[in-house]
Parts: sequence; structure tokens; C-alpha cells
Amino acid sequence: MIALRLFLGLVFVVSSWTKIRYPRIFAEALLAYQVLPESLVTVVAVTLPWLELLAGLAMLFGYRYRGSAVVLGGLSLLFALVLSSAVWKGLDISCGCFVGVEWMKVKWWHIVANLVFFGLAGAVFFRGPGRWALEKSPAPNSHTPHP
Amino acid sequence: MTKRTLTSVVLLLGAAFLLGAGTNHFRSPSLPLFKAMPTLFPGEISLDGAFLHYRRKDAVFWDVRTPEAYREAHLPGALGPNEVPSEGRMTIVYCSGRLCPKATEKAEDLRELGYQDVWVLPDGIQGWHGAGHLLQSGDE
Repeated sequence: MIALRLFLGLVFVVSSWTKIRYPRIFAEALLAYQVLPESLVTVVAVTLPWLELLAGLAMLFGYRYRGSAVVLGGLSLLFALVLSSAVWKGLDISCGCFVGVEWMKVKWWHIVANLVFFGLAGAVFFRGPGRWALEKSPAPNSHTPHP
Repeated sequence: MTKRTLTSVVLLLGAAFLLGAGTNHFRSPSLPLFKAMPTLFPGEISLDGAFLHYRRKDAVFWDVRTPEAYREAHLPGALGPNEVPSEGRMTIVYCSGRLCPKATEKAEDLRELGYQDVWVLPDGIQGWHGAGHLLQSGDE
């Protein structure tokens, strides 16, 4: 479980970094998907990378792991839907997964990858963070029995 | 979902928004939040503007993509990535297109070196080619 948790956290931390550094480029990538109203593109472009970074770090350190699993799982599902719409529309665009990596065009395997991330987040949510986490998963049957 | 999980999600969302909006506020140029993104930011030039300067031959174009990409195709007369434009002339820096951060970085480097008349062509070579303008291949 620890390997899954670290892998998931690392993917989101790494992918957030260039988006934080180049929000304008990320906004351009978002525009190309044609799914957001133009007035929301910039606020999403500046907020989403920080959400990826914070939730990714929380996942890496195993702190508030359930909250970060919900966020990362939700983002993965959202990305899978947005990527699917791009594939459906036949858009020949860069996926924007890593800003500055323009050759990475939207492909069906990006959808699969995001569904895998969704599955990993679900596994961490339900099975706990594993070893070397700041927060331990609740022990099974640890609830106080009612008198 | 437990109360703690919900609290974590709300905290993460709130912190991400505050950090994003905060860093954007201090960034130059900052993105206009809750408004459509402008096509051009300060220090950028439109395709039409760049073409006008190309026709007048009063600007130097600097291709900052890889040497291989430059060899394959570049704007006619543009300097390659291993050359450095001379000071005193209008310089228009470009890379592949709107998803490439390199032109903005290189333009910033030139401005820090004291170059006065430096512009970025955000549409890059893709925009130039898409507008039907000519390209050139080879090392010069």
C-alpha cells in the first residue's frame, strides 16, 4: 500500500510543479479542451495545480490521507472525463498533463492512466495509507461498542 | 464520508484557492480571475503585428526551440537557438506555440540583460504556419 500511496502522491506533485510555474500556459491548455466557460479558465488554472500539489503532498506523507484520496480520486475521474470528451470530439491537442511537454497529445491511454489513479486513490481511501504515514489507518473494529 | 474527510477536502480546496490566487496576484503579468483570458499579455505581439515587422524587415526573429526543430523549419531569416540577437534592434522571440514557455523565458533573459525592444510571439511557429506565412528550412 505504501508504494501505491507514494506513487500516486508523486505523480500529482510532479505534474503540479510546471503548472504552478506557468499558469498561463496551463490556462491555454485548458482552453483547448473547450469544456470550461472562458471566465472560469483562469481561476481553475491558478487553483487546480495547487490542489494537486497539496493533495499530492498529503498523500505522500500519509496525512489526512482520506481527504487527499477523495481529492486526487475526484481529480483523476474529472481528468478522465475531460480527456474522453477531447478524444470523442477528435481534438488534436496537447494533454496539458505536464506543462511544457507539448508532444504529449491526448490519447486514449491517458484516460486509462487516470482511471488507474482513481483506483489507486480508492485503494488508499479504503485500505489505509500503509506504513510510514503520519496518520495511521483506524484499526479494524476499533469503534467503541454501544452499551 | 466522515466529518474529518470532508473537512480535509474543504481545507485542501480553500488552501489551493488562496495559494493560487495569492501567487497569481504577485505574478507579473497576473491572470485576470473570473474573466476571459486576454489573447495577448504585456510584452507580446500578435501574428499580424509580427508579420508587419517581418515585411518591413525592421525586427530580428529569434527561434528558441531545439536546433533540430530549427533546422526542420523556421521563420525566414530567424536566428537559431544557439545564436544571440544583437542589442539595439527590435527582437521577436518565438517557440512552437501557445503551450511553449521557452519564448517568454528567453525574452525575460534578454530584458534582464538590458535589451529594450523585446517581444514574444505567443502563437509561435505553429500560428505563423497556420496563418499561411512562409517558413524556411536548413541552418540559415
